[in-house]
Amino acid sequence: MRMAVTTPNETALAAGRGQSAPRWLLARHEGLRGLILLAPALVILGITVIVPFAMMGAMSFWTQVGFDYADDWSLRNYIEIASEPIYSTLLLRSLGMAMAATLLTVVLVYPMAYFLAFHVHRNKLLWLIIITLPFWTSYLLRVFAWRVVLGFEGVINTGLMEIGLIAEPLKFLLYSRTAVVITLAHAWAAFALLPIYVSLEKIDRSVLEASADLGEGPVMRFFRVILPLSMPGVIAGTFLMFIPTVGDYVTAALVGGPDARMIGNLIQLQFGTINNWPMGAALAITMILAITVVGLMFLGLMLALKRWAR
Amino acid sequence: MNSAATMISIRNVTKRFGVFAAVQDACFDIRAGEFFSLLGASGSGKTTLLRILAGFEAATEGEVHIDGAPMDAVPPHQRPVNMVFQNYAIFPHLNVRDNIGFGLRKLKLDKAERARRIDEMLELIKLPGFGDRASDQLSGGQRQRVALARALILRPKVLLLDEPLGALDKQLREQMQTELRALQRSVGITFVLVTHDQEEAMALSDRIAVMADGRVLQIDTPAGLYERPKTRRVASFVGSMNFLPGDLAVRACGQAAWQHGKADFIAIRPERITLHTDHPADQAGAGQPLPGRLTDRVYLGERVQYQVQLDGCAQHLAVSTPNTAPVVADPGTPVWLTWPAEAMIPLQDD
Repeated sequence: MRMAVTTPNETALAAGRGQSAPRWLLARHEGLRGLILLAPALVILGITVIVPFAMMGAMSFWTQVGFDYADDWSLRNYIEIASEPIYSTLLLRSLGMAMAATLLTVVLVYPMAYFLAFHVHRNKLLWLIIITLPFWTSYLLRVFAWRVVLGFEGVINTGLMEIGLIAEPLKFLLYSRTAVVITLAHAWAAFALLPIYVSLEKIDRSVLEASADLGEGPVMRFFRVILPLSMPGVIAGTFLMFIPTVGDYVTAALVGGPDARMIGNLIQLQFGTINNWPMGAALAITMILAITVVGLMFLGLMLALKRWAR
Repeated sequence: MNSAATMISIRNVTKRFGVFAAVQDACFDIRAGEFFSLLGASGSGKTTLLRILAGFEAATEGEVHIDGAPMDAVPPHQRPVNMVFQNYAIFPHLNVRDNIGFGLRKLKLDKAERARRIDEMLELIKLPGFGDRASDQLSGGQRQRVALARALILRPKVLLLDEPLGALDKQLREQMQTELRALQRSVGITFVLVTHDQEEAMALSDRIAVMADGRVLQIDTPAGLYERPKTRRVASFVGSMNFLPGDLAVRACGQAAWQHGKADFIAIRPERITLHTDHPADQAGAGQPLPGRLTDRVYLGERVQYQVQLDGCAQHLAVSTPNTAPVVADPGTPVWLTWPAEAMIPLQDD
């Protein structure tokens, strides 16, 4: 759309404008700046998450033939998962155990976060470090530590026997679902604690005084103001803990008995001993879908609760 | 108003934080239906005193009675007072209706009555139709009104207001002052306001307690504080004031007019001083006009403010004349000052 005849002055001006165009674009478009800032993360995410995920999705429609794959794009794996009860049993059990561990953790960790946010006034950082100290050691070490605590000759059993409360070791402590739930609850606690703490810390203290001023005692203050305002943290903590624990297999392998096997153990077997990668991929995809469904149901429940509470 | 019963009785209240005394020996009554202000600079203890009334702080010594009942052992949620917080403390997770109706839960009203009362409040604060707004969609002035409605809906015996207009811009603040005053008259509830803004306190209050360093310096009506301040601090905090050594005032007004006895200082409001460009004729019984030199002139719109340096001493006097008076002279011009004897307020050293 340039005019055919331009004076030298105009040309210089246009050239100048052209040179500063990228800078001008950046200054004007906040979205573009954001995208540029995000770019490194997007590249890494793309390479390490989206590409492998797409490969796994594709592979789940293949079939294992001897030591090779046939890329025959069949639903055979999914049909097997749907028809064999072992898969749904393991999947439901994993979801159930992860839910139990998450619930246990959130309930136990909430008072800690509450204490930290409302009753610690000095050295908050020190307290945070102390509370997250167990997470400085390896995940495996923490799980092994629980074997020491829960074992037949472990801390709890010998302690209880010593004071004469029980005659013989409690068998359900180790190699059971209880053991897995307890260990998971401890191992992932920091992931639930931190978001809850942050959301409690963010609550404006004058809002609490206002609710007292408007006639509510400590209990109703908690349920009408503190809990609703910390729900974003509770929901974030729940997801941060629930999602990885459903697929956890180390804990189940180390402290769980035969009836505490989780879906993660089976997936690991498919990629390992059984050597049926397409089936493992299909199981992994199924698990992700199941987590998504449960997550959406949880969010729906929270929204319904919020509407009902008003 | 004077015959009204006592609503709040503050008896020898002292509040210490460690060794620091935030409030020292406060001792006064607030009458039922009164608009009472605690006026002071930041750190004067006014907010601490208000929080003691609300129950958020416990007095170290002394006691507070509200409507005849001792409040020492009564927690905030059981006191017959409600508060408008400085930052309004609107519940961010609730909409306007639920914010206003928050305190109604305890009254166990049925749905229709609850809705009726909230609507009534929305009407009162002139925000009808705003009930379903989320709290983060409100402007500063609207938040202030919601905070007010939330407190008033419980029909408290006393409404406490902690710098409620501080966060608003000047125009809105003046508008809200008028509304607040009208509201207080219509609901007839005792209001206790904390403010650092002396104009706001004067505009709103029946009586004002001036506080500094944890102590109540003087309690009086706005006119009383302005015209009869008891100490130099009160005089300089409320409005602007000239302070003169006693002998200068005697010179200006003549011995006859000066019957105040011994006073360390004489205080004179700038607007009570008359500025003359010519030596005024001596009046019988009056002292001689004080000669001086104009050093500064500030045009303020409705008023003009002058600075005059008196001849023969370093003393500067502020003189304020209405804009309707002929504008005199530029800085450097010789002038003469006179004032009526009754304009002088004798003060002792604090």
